[in-house]
Amino acid sequence: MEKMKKQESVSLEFESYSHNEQFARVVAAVFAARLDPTVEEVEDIKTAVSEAVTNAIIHGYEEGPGIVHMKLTIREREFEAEVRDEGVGIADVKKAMEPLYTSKPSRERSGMGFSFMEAFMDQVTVDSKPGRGTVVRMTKRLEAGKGR
Amino acid sequence: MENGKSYKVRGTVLYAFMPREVDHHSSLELKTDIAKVRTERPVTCLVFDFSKTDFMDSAGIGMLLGRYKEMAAMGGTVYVRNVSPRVKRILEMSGIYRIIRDWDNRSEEGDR
Repeated sequence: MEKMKKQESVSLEFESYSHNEQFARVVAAVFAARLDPTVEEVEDIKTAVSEAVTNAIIHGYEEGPGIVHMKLTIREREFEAEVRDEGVGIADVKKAMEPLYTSKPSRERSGMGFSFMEAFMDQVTVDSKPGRGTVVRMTKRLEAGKGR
Repeated sequence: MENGKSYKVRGTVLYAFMPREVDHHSSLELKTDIAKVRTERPVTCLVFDFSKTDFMDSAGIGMLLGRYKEMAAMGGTVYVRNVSPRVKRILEMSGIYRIIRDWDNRSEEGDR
């Protein structure tokens, strides 16, 4: 049997179709399963990933074509998801992350995406520049594994 | 219908049975489906039934808010029903319970 590495990553690239929101959630859940998470931890990760991927599709690529990159990493008990797009980018990241702020109110956006990511993950960082795409990195430390 | 959503109209109440996952993708169809029913039947009350739903993100909240605004604009009401603990948590986090209540907890008088 292989010795478990301390760190391992998996990367996925997919086209910015909305049906891939679910696909990305499932991939994140399966990868996180290696750390024997609780049901709630998996739901939290799925929700946060869904928010980030949806943002890439709706805002990054403005519901047009583009490739969404998702890199998942597990390090000991920490799960990390990095969602990247090469889309329009965010001019004011701080404003974008304000609760209830949305640049697209007419598209029925709740403006709660970043708030949900921050509620369900431990740390969320956003790197973005207009015209240069966006990278959202989120980490979550999972509670002790086996025997819960 | 894919993903298991369906609709039922009783009087002027439209019951929308939500799919297993309510996200941006499924919300797009829900919005157009509900709009279509509303062109066919007079609807004064919209009840979202989450019996089959085990996942919802903020896109679902946006969809609920959009339907609430449409209904409120013509004096209608919106309720949720059969919400699982996880979905309830999402609804609570969003603050939407301030404007949309649970169908099974509605008061006898005033709400129909």
